[in-house]
Amino acid sequence: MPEIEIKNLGKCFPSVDKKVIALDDIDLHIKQGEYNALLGPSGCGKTTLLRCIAGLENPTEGDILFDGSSALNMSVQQRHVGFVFQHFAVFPHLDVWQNVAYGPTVQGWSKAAIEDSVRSNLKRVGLSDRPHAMPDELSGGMRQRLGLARALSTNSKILLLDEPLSALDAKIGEYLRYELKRIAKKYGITAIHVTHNQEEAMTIADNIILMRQGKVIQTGTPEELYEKPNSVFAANFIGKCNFFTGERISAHEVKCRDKIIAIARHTGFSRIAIGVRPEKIHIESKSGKNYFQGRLESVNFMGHFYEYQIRSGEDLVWAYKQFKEDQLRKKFKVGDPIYFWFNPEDCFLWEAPEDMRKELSL
Amino acid sequence: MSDTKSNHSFAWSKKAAHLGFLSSLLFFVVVIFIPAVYILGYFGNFDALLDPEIIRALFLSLSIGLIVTIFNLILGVPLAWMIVRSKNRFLKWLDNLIDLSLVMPTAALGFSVYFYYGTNWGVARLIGLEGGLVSQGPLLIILLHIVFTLPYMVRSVSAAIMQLDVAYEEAADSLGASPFSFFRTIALPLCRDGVINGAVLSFTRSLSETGATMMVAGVFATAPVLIVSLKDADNFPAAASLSIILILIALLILVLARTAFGKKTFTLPTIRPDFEKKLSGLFSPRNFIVTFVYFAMIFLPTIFLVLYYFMNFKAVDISALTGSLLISFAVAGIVTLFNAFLALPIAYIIARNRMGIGEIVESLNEVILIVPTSALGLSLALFWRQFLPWEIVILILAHLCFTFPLFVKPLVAAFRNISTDQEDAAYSLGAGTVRIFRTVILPQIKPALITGAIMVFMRSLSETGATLAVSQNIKTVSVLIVELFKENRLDEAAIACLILFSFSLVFLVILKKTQTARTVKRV
Ligand SMILES: Nc1ncnc2c1ncn2[C@@H]1O[C@H](COP(=O)(O)OP(=O)(O)OP(=O)(O)O)[C@@H](O)[C@H]1O
Ligand SMILES: [Mg+2]
Repeated sequence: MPEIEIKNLGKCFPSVDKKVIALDDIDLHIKQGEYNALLGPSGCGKTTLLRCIAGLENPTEGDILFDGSSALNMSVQQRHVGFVFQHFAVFPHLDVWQNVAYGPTVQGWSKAAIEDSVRSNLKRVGLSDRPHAMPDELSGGMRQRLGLARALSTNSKILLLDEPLSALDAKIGEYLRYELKRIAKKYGITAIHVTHNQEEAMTIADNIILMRQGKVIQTGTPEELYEKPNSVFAANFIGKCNFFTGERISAHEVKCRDKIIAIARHTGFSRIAIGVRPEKIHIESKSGKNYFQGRLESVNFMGHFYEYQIRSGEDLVWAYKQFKEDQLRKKFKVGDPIYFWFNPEDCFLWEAPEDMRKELSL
Repeated sequence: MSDTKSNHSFAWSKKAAHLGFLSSLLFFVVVIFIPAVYILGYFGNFDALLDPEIIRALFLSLSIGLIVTIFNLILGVPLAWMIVRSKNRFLKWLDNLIDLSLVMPTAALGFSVYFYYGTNWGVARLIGLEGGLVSQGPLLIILLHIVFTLPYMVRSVSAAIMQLDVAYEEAADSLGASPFSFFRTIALPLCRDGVINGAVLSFTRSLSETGATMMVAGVFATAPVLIVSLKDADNFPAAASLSIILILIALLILVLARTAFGKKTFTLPTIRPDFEKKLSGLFSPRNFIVTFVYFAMIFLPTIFLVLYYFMNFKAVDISALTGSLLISFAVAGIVTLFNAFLALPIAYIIARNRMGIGEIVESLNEVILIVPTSALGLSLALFWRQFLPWEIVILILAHLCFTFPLFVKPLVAAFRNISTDQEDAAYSLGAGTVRIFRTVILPQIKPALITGAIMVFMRSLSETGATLAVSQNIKTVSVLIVELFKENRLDEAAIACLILFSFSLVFLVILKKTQTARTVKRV
């Protein structure tokens, strides 16, 4: 059954001034039946990777294996991969029914089998009641679901989705997220779902593949990526994170903004980047040992928590506090001085990148 | 309040604009449209129709039109596909050559095509034959008509293909459709309007061409050629009847095409995947075949006259030409200038549906475009001779008439691209109509104006059928080329063709420049 291996895959596009390296030495192992989110900033090569897997683009280097055998010599047709396009690409001259029937029809299925497939797939996506509507009579969400039904119609066991939810309004997008995963799981489909929305990736995926500038930065479960980001970029892209830089003093001490703070793990780097999630930042109204000073810039209500924005030197530091810690809020007024600190165990530590600012800009 | 004054002048400028539109509309109907179809008033006398000569000519014209159209479909659709979708630079670059035979005066084309196929200078020499490959007659007419009608097909189909989202093809591929299945179930239905439009233009242009056809027809006569000879023999009733029939056929085609347009639904046919996959095998050498056929049957015949000229280079006395050249250029210049002024308001009326008559005016414009020019010429001659004694004025009016739609079409497209918001915004800022036109609209329609002007100028230079029908003594250069050719004064004809050819080359370059300047970034 479908298992995809990608071996040092590379893709260059010739361009007027210089070559664009869209994919750079990608190695991936996509397990059977797993729902993968392919996440990364705009232009990092997500679409290109997906298109290479589907056979819509030829890689310039490396290999793609479907169940152990190379797919490079297979045509798009032979790869038998369901593809959901970013802008749906539903056929405008065919009605809903015929759009879904298209794949089975061109593959020469029997009439009964075609009808079976269309009926069940329309039901899966909840379009059974409008089989004869033309695509331009459908809402964006319905068209998206039609694109999905069409991709599922030929019983492909691999489903590739290129930002399938980006064109939808937030509520429908959220609903369809779970639908997608439910369908994929129910039918044992191996899925790769491209998105640049980290929240979408976290909620939908068994496994997240984080990309940047044509490279895979980190792969793992959402929890792994959130709790053990392997780089400043990963911590910054997935969830929110505060960053500090410091110099190594000893194996468990770092000098950061004229304070010596303890760190939990040993590190050999001389310049160290420290990352702390906003919910791990503690705030106080009075100063204490190794507290950092700042000024409260704003407090924002975010539903179940408050977001404290603290101006500290040039940086803006975020701290999230639970709603029930309401009494805190009365202690702080915007403009007041405020002190914050964090536990050594709650820090991520990496070698400091040469240019932190560049690292943080996507 | 200070507002009243500006309100007043605003109302005044609106009124003036309205008046302007009305008068240009009047001019369009009285000077362009009615004279063009005036001949329909002679409807009724159809004795001539039993004349076997007329029946033969009609049959010949219709069969040629049909064969030419079918050939254009077979060559033009894959050619358009290749030009739009190919990643190969050279194949994309072919795009620049396609319009060559479109702006090339047909008389020069006739000369060129004749020498390419019909004499031992051309292909015959390449493949080692004595004498010509194709002698004058129906086959040569077909080959000629293919040369100048193919660009209409390619342009119209490639415009449709450009609108076709590449993702449709990728979606079909990922669903397992073979290239042939994709072509017949997705590409063709979605590009149908473009294909129909290309077919209509191919057919009607073939049905109408006169000058070049005369050069290659030999003893055969197509319908428009016969109209000219009947008119020369002073057999007006027969010429009129034949003209009316041609106009009616053109109208019928237009109506049929219109009803076929815009139907959106399509039913999936049954598909036999294995068979269609085999057929798709034919697609792989497609680009090679199409390119080869294009060069052998379109490009080389078009430019062959240049080769002929250099192979036969001789000093020639061109004094016979200068007068005709002067007349032709003067007529073309005047016609272009007049049309520019007249086409602007009419195109605006069509694009913005002013007074609710946009669609009607557009249809009238379309009718003139497809009416065979020799029929049109006869109609114009019959109409204007009642009022005007001067041949040159009638000649200019005739050229004004058949070139007019060529100016209107690109302008309509340009106006449609300007959102009404821009005009409204300018109005709301207090700009008057004239000012808005000058500062907001004119800059945006400039490319269309240049395109229209070039098309009109070249068409006026090259037209033969209508010109022959209205003129008795004045000879435009195209008419002269046909005559010189028939009198076997080939060297003089070659020079005249070469002069026209150089002009079309220059214009083609300008045309391409303005088009690329206008090209919007494609996503
Ligand atoms: N056909 C192409 N020709 C040239 N360059 C291309 C082509 N397709 C993609 N690229 C380049 O490859 C890089 C990766 O593009 P890709 O579309 O894969 O990014 P993406 O991650 O999908 O971005 P987005 O989130 O904006 O969709 C970009 O720099 C892009 O400009
Ligand atoms: Mg993308």
